[in-house]
Amino acid sequence: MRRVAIIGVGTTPFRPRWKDKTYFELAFDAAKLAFGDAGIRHTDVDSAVYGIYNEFFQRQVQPDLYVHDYLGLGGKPAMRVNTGGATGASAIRAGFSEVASGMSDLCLVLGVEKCGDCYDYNLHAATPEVLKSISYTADMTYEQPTGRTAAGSFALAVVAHQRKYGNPTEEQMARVSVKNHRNALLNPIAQSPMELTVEQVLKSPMIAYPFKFYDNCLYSEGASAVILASEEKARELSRQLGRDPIWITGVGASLDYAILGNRPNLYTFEASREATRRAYKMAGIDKPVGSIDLAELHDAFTGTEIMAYQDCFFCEEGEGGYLVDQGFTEPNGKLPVNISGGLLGCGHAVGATGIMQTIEIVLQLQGRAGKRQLDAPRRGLIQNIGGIACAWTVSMVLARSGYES
Amino acid sequence: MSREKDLKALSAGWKFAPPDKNAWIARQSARTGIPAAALEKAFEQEFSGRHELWEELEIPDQMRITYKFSYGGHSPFFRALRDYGRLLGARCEACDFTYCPPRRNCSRCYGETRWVELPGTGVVETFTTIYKGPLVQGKPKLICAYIRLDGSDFIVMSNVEMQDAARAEVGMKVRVVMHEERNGSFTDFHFVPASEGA
Repeated sequence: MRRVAIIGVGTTPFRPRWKDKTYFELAFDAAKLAFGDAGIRHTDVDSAVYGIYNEFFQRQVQPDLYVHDYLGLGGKPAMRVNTGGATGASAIRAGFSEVASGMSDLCLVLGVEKCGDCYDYNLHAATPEVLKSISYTADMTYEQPTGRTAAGSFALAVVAHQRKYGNPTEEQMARVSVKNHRNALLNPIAQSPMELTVEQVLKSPMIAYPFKFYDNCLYSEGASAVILASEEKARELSRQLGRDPIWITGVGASLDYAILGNRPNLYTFEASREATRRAYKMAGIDKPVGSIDLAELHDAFTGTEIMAYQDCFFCEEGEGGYLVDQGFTEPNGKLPVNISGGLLGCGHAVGATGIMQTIEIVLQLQGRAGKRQLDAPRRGLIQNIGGIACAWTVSMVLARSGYES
Repeated sequence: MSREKDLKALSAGWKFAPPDKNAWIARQSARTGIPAAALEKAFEQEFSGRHELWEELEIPDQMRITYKFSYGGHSPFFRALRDYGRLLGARCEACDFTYCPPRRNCSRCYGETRWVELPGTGVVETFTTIYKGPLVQGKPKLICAYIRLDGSDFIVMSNVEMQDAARAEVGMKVRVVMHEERNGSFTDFHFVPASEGA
């Protein structure tokens, strides 16, 4: 397997709505930024992978066709990847395979999502139609009719986890919300940067027990792109760019049972554990704490970030809540999590989200993260989840030169 | 800004006449299936003062498919449910694992299953209460629970209705209540706490 580097990145800000851009125009903006950042022309890429989640959001079946066309890449091999919330990192994993296998030397991986055109004319709001579009991911015969939402599917697991281990408590979850919304204050692409108090989070309206309004990320529109390169290409472009590439040293994926009766329990996300195990194994990491200097973990809900602490082996099973108490994942903690603001602070432009997480790690490892720059991090972890109660996870380890293993 | 200037120059002297409100609403309603009354605001937003070329144009639109959906091999479950008000499971003849939701084929050992009637009692494994979602308009709360049914090795997602929703809890014993009007859907029944009377 060949080594794979990230040589360029580009993202639009995440916003509730980009009324002045269609999904393919947003894609174009992110692609243009990424090509510029890599110092290449669009015609230089050998292939493309598009991460786009929901047909109803885009009002288009097979929207990748029209992104590829608009980017002027006609004739080049390309495909769409869709693994729900994990679409972005899954697209990078597909691009990784493309380059690692030798089929491509340069590959564009681009995620885009535009949900805000959904609109309920009776209620004069986008949200009901957005939630309806998402609800069709639930098994249409046996689960969707019950009215369980996406938030509900994760809430079911968090409740089971709480009853088993006594945490995360609602206050611990609120502290994660405060942390990530605050982290976003330093991120120019963030949709929801704000200073909140634990009390404000606890008093916000209930959405799906035990998640309150500020325990949930907001849906966003946006596009994010990375350019993947073979080692030879990466070295050549690095010399021109005058900066080191970032290496993808570990990639792991898992798709768990989506019908939860098939799972051994409801209180862990085995897909997350398996994907992260695989990523660490490929990256040669035995002990993540001490090896990983920062992580972007999928905090669509505060409770899922806390469960991700154990699923990414930062602590023993059932101890995630205690890491919050210790300030372990605060920006000045031992292992900062979601320094970008995460999904809670930046928003969730589904197909783009895993790529946005990846871009944060790239910028941090290259010392390009502006006001939120951490002190010379060596390796970072991305965990991107999706589907019914975390059916999908893709985890990736990124490293700067000299720290590849 | 220069783009606006260009467009202003391009459209200099063009005349804008808004369409007839009622005719426009009737046309959009027929096109999209959106009730006419719900389109009043859209007309106001689209045509009161908005006509410059650079102002984003939003149209009512929809993607809608209707189905004659076949339950295929799962039909006996839905026939028993809709036509007889009975709850079935499917037991694997090879490994004895019992599914509800049912399966014709065992995903564990690839054996075939046979139909068995379930008593409709069970225990809540985990739950959430939905306060915001497609089905929660008007309904103050909606309890969604994974229930392990007696006689089954599987869990079902179903709604629980109880006198005090705040008392929903893991481990709670529940029993099925069949609805009077059934559509052949997995929401033709719900559960209530076993402790609450009929």
